[in-house]
Amino acid sequence: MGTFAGNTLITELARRLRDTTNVAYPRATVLNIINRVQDAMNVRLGLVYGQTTFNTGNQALYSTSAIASDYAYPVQMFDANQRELDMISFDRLTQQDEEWVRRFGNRPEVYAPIGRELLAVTPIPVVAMTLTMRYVKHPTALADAGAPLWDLPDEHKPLLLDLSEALLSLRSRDYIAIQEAVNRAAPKLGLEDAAQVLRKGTVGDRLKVKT
Amino acid sequence: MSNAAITTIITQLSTTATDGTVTNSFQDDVIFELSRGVYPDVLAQVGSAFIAVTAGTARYSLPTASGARTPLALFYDTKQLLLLRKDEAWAYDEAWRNAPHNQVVGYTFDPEDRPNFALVPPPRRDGATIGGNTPTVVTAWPDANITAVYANTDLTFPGTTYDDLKLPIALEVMAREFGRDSDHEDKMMTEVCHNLAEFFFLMFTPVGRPT
Repeated sequence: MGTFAGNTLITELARRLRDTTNVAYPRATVLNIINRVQDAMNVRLGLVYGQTTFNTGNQALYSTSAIASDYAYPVQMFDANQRELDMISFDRLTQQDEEWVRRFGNRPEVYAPIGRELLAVTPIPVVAMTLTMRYVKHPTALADAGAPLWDLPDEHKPLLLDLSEALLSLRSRDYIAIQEAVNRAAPKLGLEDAAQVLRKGTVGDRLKVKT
Repeated sequence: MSNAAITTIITQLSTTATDGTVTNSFQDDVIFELSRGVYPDVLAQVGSAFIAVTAGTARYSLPTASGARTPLALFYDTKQLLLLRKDEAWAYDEAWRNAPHNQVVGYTFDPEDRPNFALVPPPRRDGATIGGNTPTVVTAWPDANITAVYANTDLTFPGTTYDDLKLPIALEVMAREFGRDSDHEDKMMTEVCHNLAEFFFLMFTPVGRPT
């Protein structure tokens, strides 16, 4: 867990945006964008995990929200004897076993996420067992207060502030600030190509800004 | 229908008054497009259902009333079915293809209306009573029915497991809203919002996995 709280991050971002009194960028708006950005960052980078257990049933398909409401995607799964299952893509699962939806065995061997709402675990264990899943979670929402502290590691604060600054600069239509903030963030996310596309979209803007 | 959290992001980042009726409609459009695979590698809403089989009947419908859009996998009883093009299905002997059999080999969309599909060949027997069973909660497997796994659309976008998609959806809606003819038309804003939406849609895919 990191050491930054929502109120600290809002204040720091407000200073970046030259709005320390939060007139142009209300604190509630800044907070909502920070929460959205930390969520997207964690999904992309897989920084914070959750762990939960669930019992197998008489089926191969499971609803992910019933297992963990903050689930984003699985990372590891273990059976009751702490043997790790293999994660495969849904496409591979359907190619490997045409009867996976009703295949039974002594223990489950593989699991495959299907979108964000379903999880296939097969074969179905003949005797029900408890599985342990580690998963990338949606981080705890921050508040405009000293608690809770954010879930992400502190060294990712610059990335959070860059992306939040880019989005909040839409309010002022400051397209060059958006471009510069995205340029700083993109390499940390492995998205340099996408940043190039963004740059192409803002070329003409230099004619009317910063004269 | 619209999702309040997405609407809040749009309001917070737009600053100028947008047309709520139009942005709600754009919101629906983007959510529909997600289930059609318009955004590569972005699949969040999925569902599954049993479809009751009637002896000798080839044609069935996806449960569109509950949001089913595009099938990801269809099973007859326990066996996954092949997706057949019309010419592949027609390559089977006509008498065999149209006569009810115990084992179904595939399904085809080509000669059917969009939400419908046809089993090849038609099943010989009625499926067992499905009752309260669903593919994710099976008390007793209902033999000889169809199990469908599909991309789903719920326009209220209620799930917590795909919360990170609300930001790029809001950005794409803003791109469309500022791109149409109106008193707040802003082509530069459209371009930047669209590119930011693409950027955040790419963040749906964890780094290290192919984008």
